[in-house]
Amino acid sequence: QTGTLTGTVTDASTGESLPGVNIYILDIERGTATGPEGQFTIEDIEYGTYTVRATYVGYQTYKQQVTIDQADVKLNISIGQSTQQLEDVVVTALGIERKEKSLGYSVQKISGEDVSKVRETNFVSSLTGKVAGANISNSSTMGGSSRIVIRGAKSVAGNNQPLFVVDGVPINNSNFTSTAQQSGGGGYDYGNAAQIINPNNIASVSVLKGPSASALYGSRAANGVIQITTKDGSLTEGIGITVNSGVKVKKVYGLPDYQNEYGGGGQGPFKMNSQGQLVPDYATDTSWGPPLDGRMVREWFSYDDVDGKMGETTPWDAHPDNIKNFFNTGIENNNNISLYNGTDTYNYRISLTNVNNEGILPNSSMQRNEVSFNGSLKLTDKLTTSISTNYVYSKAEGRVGTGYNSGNTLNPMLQFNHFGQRQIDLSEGSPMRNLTRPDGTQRTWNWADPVAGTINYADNPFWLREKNYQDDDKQRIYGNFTASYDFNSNLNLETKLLTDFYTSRRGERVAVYSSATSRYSEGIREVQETNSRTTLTYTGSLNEDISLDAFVAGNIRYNQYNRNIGQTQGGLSAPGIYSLENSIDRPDIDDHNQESMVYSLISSASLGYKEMLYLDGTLRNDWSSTLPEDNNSYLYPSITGSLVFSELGIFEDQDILSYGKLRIGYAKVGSDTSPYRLKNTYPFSTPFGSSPQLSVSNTLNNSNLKPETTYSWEVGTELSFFNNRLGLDVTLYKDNTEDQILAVDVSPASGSNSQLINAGEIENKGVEVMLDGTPVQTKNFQWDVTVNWSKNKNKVVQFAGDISNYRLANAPFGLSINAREGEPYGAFVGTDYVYDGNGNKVIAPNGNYKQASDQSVLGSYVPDWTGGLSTSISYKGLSASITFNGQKGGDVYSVSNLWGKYSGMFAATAENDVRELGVVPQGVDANGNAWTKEVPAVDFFQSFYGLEAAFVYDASYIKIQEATVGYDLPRKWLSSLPIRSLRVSLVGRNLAMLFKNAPNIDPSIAISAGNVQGVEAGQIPPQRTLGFNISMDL
Amino acid sequence: CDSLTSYNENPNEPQEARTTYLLTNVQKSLSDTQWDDFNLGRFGNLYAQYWSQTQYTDESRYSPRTGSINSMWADYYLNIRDLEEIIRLNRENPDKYKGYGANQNQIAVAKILKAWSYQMITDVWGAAPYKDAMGGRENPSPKYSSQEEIYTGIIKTLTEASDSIDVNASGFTAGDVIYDGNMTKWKKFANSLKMRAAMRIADAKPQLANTAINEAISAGAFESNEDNAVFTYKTAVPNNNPINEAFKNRNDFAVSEALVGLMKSNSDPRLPFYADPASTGDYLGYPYGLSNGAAPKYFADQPFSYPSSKVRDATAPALYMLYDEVLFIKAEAAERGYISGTPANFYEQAIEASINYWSNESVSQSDISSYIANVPYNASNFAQQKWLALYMQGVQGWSEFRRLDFTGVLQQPAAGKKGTFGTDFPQRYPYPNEEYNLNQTNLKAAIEMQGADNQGTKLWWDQN
Repeated sequence: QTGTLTGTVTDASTGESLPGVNIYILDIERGTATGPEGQFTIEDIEYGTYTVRATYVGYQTYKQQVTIDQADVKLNISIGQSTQQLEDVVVTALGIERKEKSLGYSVQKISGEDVSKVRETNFVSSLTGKVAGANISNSSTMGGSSRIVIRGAKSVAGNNQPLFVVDGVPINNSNFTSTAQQSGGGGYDYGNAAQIINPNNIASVSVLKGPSASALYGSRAANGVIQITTKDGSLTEGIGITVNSGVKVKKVYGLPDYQNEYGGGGQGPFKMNSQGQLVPDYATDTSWGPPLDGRMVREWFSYDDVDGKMGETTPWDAHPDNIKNFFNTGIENNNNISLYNGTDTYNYRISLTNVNNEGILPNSSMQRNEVSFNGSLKLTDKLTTSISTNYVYSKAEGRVGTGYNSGNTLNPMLQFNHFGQRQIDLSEGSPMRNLTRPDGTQRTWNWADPVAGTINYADNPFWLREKNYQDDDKQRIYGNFTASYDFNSNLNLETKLLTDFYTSRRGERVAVYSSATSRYSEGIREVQETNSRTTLTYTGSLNEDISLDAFVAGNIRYNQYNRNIGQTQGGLSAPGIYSLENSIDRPDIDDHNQESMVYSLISSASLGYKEMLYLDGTLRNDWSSTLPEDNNSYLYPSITGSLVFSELGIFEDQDILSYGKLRIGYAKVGSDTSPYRLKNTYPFSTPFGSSPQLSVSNTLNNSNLKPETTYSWEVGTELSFFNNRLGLDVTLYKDNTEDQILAVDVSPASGSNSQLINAGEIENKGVEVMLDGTPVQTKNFQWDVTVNWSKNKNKVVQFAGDISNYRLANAPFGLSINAREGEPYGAFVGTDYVYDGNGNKVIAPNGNYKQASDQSVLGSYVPDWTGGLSTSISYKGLSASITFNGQKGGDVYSVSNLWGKYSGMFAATAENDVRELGVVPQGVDANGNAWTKEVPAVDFFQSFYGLEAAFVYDASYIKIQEATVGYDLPRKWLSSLPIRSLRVSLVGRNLAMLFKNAPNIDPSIAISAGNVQGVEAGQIPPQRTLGFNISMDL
Repeated sequence: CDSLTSYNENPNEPQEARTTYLLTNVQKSLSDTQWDDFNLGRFGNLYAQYWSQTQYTDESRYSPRTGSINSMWADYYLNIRDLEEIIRLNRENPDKYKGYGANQNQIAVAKILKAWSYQMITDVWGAAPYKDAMGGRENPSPKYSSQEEIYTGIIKTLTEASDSIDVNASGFTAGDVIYDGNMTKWKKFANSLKMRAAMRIADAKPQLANTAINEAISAGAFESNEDNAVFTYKTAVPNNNPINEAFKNRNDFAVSEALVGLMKSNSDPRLPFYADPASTGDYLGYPYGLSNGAAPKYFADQPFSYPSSKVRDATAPALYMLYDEVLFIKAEAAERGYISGTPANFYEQAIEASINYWSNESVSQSDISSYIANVPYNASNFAQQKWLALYMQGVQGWSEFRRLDFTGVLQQPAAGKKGTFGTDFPQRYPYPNEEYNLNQTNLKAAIEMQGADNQGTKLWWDQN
């Protein structure tokens, strides 16, 4: 006898019927999909009891026993969206899924959808404003770095960024940029390596903030862990296909305020040549020249016939939009297609991604192609294997140089913000766009001698882009292989092999006929990390009330880093050929190989009592190759507990508090160092002719190093009220990192620049608050608000002995960034004004501000607090969201403001007729009387050189980080098409700076991802991004 | 886990070094330290007023960049550290290193260069870490020694070095760019340097000066330009003359009006070897220390002379000490009654030696004689001629004009640091701000002893 099963499927929260849902009867392997009104029918089912399953993308899987015992059996199914299911399960360290309520530490979850709305090319930047306690700063260059630091910097000299883990694979996040680049001294920002994580593939992100959350990852997790789980193909009937396609445009905004009244040159009138023509001073790269009054002058392009203006005069005019005209509109395309399928015995997902980016600067582009495969196969009832692989190929051409470099060779902003002439026309069709004379030599405005064609300092900015460009490419493979064996329902043995490998090539050019000596450098780097881990897990219970989850694991980690960099010397012999073999002199070589190994034993146990009280403990021991043999083993524990007090009887009959939990945790995490820091060796210099050169190392290594240790405490509570309409999550924490391994600077008179020591303690304490609420919720309309706010107090507690300062780097022109006893990490040290007893600035008899003779602390880049606010509304298929992001306090040192004023380019140097009337500095003379005399503007603005305090600004800001409007087309519109869902959205990033105190620059932009922050030099202006996205499931 | 340790052997750098490799490195590096565009171009040759800055004239107006003070200080000390390493290796393991030259000769060479370096340090800053320096891990914050202690030590070191040299045993078997292992020349250099040091302190410690000069002369100092201590660069980057490199892309330096004016007024035959003609064909000095407003205008509008192609050549040598200086010292020693002889004779020989060096003996004897006739021996001409002969040895030129109170031909820069330190010309360089960060207690004690850390505080040897 047979019967028919019929029914409808509806959305659990809206009641809307769902077409295209897969209905499957497991026992007889038959199924169907629901029709336009969500209805389904399966006929000819033998009488019996079956398990029926309903699966649908974005929804929880539904399973139900059904007995077919009559001709017509009805089954109405209502399924909930899967995001709601994610609420109470989180992925914790080593990929272990845990019920959120059992955790004694703070874990923040972010859904895949949240990070993929805008599909940033740098994954890290899409977390901006969304993670409480995380300070994220993004660069403004194509493919540049995003830096994330969770709960403040813990290590004085080491890495302070969290560990990135994708499906268990630790992902290298280094960027291999020079110290000079990181501190604003010029170079390319090649971006942090973790930026390639593909938002299209992300199922969810867990941010494990404190060391207690991440004790299991060991050393590198002291700064927290960003744990990413990618999508797989589990339980999809038929082959699912998702297509996503987006296009974005980028435009610069927030350029400095320039003056447009005076043109280039030093002081004084035009010179007159023998033909009686007025000749501007093009040799001087400042803008203190004659007023831009339209007089006819011999402009820089009238000394050759390239523009047909040979010998002619043209008007001396302002071009207020010249800098804006230099930039293009950037365009980015992002296309992704994924195919997935899954049954009870296998599942897989394949994803292909292509990202194409045309940058905002002339001749800049970036591409990325990725193939990912996740697959899992159940070989027997007990043995499951899975594999995950990702291959990413990325390349870029024409990244822009950042910061100040004296050769002026990389960054065109230097002649826009530091040293340049305001009147230069850069628009489409302007003479500047004709780069070369017929003989191939360069044409630029900054002539030392226009007839001979010799250049003083500045190259043509288009020459910098078209000729002196860099290019790079990178191939990366990461993934894992897992075999898992269930002895019984309690005991499992799993072994995993995880690897991340990439190789990158970078080529950097300075063309022949540039103002600097032509050169080419090429660097190849190989980076590898391999882990192999075996884990034995017990999951069960001691009795009815007490559950026990425990595991022991052994891990071997191997890291390797090789680089081979060559740079030509003495110039290039053949123009246009970029090869080390084209070096006039012997190329300079940097050949470096390093490897390290860490063995670990890891154990963990978790006890739960009545799903209400939990106690967790972990214990880990590491042995690291980088530490001395008798000191290379270090053991560290963590212990955490949580109490879900809302389960207590006293909370039963009330409807205010829906959920309440207290948590407390303590952890210690040990940390090793980089290789080869124990013994002294002799570094090479380029041989002097045939004489090799070796010197004593400028850093004294230390054969007695011991591991660094971070101790951390956290307590927190999670509360939700009014049936989960209002939620509050508060965490208080305190971390102390001790015995830091540092190469501290010492007086070179002692015989080295720095010595490696184990010293120094940094303390971070703070509070993180997350508040989320749903002020309005009706059947069709919902309004959500999420606020995160965090305040971290960071203090360098002490160093060893006489040493009280560790310099992170020297920024250009006198300021240094330091870790200094008693100050927050990242203290700016430089020259201050001299103040009298009443706090007035003292002015010397010549009208210049007096400069203090000692250097002092002028600020720090560490903000007082950071915060983000996201709010979204949805009405049926339509949703809109906006994210604000900001910080209060912290400082930024702006080299652009130093030189932009010195050179007379910024608006302040021409306001209120100061060039005619002079400036009366605010301050007092040596006798304390208010200063009243005028000082010539040029002398005034140039007198600040050496007075770093004048260029340290408050870095507070609030900006619109992200905004989206999306529309899910109603399913019934699609029912006739082979499309299950279709979403279109408009996205915007970095839309507007609503508030800031630092003039002429965007204080939120980082130059790199390193520990040196808060330095602005030749900043590439911020870019507003607007885009359109279409996403469909087939 | 024994095998773990094997992963930590550095494959990139050797754990042992031949002393010959260390020597080449330290000679090259010391030469670069005194000779590069910052330490010579933006400091030594400016403070001596041999050169002027053409644009961005802050340094010539006595506002040095803190970074360049820091790195000059560090470079001298780190070079001394490498010289100490040569001494240490030869002392601790003589058999292992004697293959690179007789141990005592290797040690003597290192000591001579050490003495040269310490004299540079103390002539620039005054009190400095000396006795307490090079303490390594045991003493990262060395105390400062007074200039008197340093000079006494320098003279002692040079005496030891000269005495310990065995001219019959091997010098450095390779890597000695200055003298190619010729120990006779090293010995002469030791004694010539001893004369330089002794004469510098003649006003402050005449007795020691007198003794030292006599000792040095009898032990044997430079006897001709063949003996000159110079480091000859190579054509290829990065082994070319740093001044050559600096002029490749920028035109920061011109010869000063003070230098060119004095040379022209006496028809100095060295002028074509000191400076290139201006676009007009004439030799035209550049005013010293123009304001940042005036300099670009002057640069754009006026013809002027750059330093000569000779000193800007890729292979132009860095000068450690020249023969003529020994003769100038003898003249002064005779004048002071330390040695016998006629001061004017030594003076004239000195000028002749200088002209011969700079012109590569291309100036005729009669032209030399007629030039000498233009600048007859007297106190003022002596100071001027010694200053001229020390061209390109910026710190030496500046030191001698401080000591001899030579001012007539020098120019006052436009507004800047000038006037903030109480003297017309800088008397010393400010201490590096790194020392304020890293060695503050000892630095403060040195300032207490020596006087305020500004450019107006006179050094100990500058007694009047």
